[in-house]
Amino acid sequence: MNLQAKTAVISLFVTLGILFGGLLGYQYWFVQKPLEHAVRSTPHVQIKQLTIQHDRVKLVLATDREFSLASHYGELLEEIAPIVGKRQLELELLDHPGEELEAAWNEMAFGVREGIDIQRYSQIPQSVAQVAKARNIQYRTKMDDRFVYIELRQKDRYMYQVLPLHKTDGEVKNNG
Amino acid sequence: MDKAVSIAIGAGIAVVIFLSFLGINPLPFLLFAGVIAAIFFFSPTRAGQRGLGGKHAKRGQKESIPSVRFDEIGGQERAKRELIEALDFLIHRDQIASYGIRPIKGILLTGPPGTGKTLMAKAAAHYTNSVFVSASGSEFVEMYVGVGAGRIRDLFRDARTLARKKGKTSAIIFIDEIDVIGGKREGSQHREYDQTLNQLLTEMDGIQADQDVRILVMAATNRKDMLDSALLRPGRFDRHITVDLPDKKARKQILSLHTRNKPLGDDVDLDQIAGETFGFSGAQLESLTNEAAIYAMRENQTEIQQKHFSQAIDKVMMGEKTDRETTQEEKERVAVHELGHAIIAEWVRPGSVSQVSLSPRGQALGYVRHHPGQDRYLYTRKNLEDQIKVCLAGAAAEQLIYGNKSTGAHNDYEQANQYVSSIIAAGLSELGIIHPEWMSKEKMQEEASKILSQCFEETFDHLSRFRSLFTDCLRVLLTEEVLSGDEFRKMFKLYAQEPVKINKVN
Repeated sequence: MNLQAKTAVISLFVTLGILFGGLLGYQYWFVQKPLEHAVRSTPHVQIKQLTIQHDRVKLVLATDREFSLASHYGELLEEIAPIVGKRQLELELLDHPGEELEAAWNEMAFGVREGIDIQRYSQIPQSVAQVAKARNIQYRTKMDDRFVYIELRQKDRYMYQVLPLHKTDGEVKNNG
Repeated sequence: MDKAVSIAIGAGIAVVIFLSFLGINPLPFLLFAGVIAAIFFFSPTRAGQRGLGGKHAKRGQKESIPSVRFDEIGGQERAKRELIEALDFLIHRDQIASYGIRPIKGILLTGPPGTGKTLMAKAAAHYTNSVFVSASGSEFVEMYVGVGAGRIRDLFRDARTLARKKGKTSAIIFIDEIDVIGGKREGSQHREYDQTLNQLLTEMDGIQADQDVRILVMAATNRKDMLDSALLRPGRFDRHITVDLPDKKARKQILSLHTRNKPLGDDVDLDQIAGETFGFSGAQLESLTNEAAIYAMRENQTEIQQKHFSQAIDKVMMGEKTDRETTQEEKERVAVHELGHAIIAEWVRPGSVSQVSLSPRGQALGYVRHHPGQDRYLYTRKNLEDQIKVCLAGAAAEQLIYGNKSTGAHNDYEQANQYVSSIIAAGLSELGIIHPEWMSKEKMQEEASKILSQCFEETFDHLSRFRSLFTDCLRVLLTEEVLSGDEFRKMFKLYAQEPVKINKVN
């Protein structure tokens, strides 16, 4: 009996080793590596933090001034999505907002969120433009079938806002 | 088999842990594993091993290649040699084909119980790298007619399929206690056994050299005289190998094999133990080493010492110590009785007493353990008379000290009578060479009592010279309960100047 118990325990650990080793190996070769590759091929972004769990992927990206939400973000997301697959994606963009931009965003947020909620999307660029012009802020807005992208710039400060059009797409968080 | 089960259990638990880690409900997996396990355990094809259900279940039938090797069997050199030679025919097929030798079909191992017949069969299977299928004769016996014969067929078929499955070219079928089915066929009474036996005979005839799986039937019995002559003829069991009780050299080898895994003290002398265990079978020797180890453990010793072995010899020979209470009076009588045995034993064969003990053991109230010296197979009349004297010495000592005898000598007389009858039967008595059945009982009785009374008188005379030794030894024996051979001899020497001389003259 003693010998059998020993065999069972050894088999337990060996199997655990194989299963978890396999999982880790898979995550490294088939998730982490391609993700890193995808990010590297996108200009003006760098990986700050990458955490892969079996059911979620957390990706924190640092951007520089040249990064344009409107032109690069969609591309990046498109490349990442198939790699991440069914896992839940948490994508954070580290932007560089100052008090000015924060205040400006707080002001325009009302109009933007209202526009999304009542599905009058043309209201969004209007409210952004209204605040931005008053505070002398450069801005760019974009919209696709899932998100509204808002990019605010003032001198060396910049801020990104990615707002989901539908509540279920709540995976992209604002770090600002 | 069991290993596979443990591995499966370990792996199953690991998978469940892994699934729970991933947050997947492991219940479906468990259900699935349960179904697989159920199929595995209850399937009729495996019933032979798991013993659950299945009408072809063959109880106790083991199918594997044993790991016993010939050099792990102590003694039995001649039997081993003969067996190995027979087995070489299984191994060197081409060579025997060139000589035109018909392969041996069966080997019959005969010998007293506990001499390692089964062990030999296992070693044979290991040696030839064959599949080993074993069955016991009693497995073929059942109420229903024809079942036994069917089992024989199954046994041979199983051996063939198993050998094919395992990729072996030969199989050994071992039938233990074959006398159950192989008994002589007489009259019309044991019809069912006859069918079983007939089936075995025809199966054995069906063994041919050109079959892809070569089958060797080995059988063991300790009643060869009871076997049917059809089984014993050449072509069935070609070789009869007698496995005898081990001699001293073999006993030492067996002892050293069994003490290999035991911590032995420095004072342990296996040679001496082998000398003291004349007539022990291999199984008894194994039990002896085991008991010695148990005694050492009881005393919390780190090593097994010689005294543990000598206690173990007593135990295996006579049984465990009993706590039968005896009165002082009886104890004294037993002491006198045993001393009588010891003194005469020392007189007829100096150095032969190895222990005198007063503690009751098994049926005996006290006993003297002898040291047989050398293994003996031939006896002269003098040897036998000496043995008789030793047997009668207990009663003679009682007669000398108390002036009467007791029932304690009953067993001694029985033994003495055996010796006397072998004197007479062997033609060593004054009757000359005789046929016991043609002699009248009275005449034999007359001769026997003549020998006995003569021996008794000599014993009595001799003992009467040692009256003072009795009182000395009695004191020691009654306080210590045990007197070792050396202690006894020391006291004996003090009183025995004359008798030792007499012994030398003889």
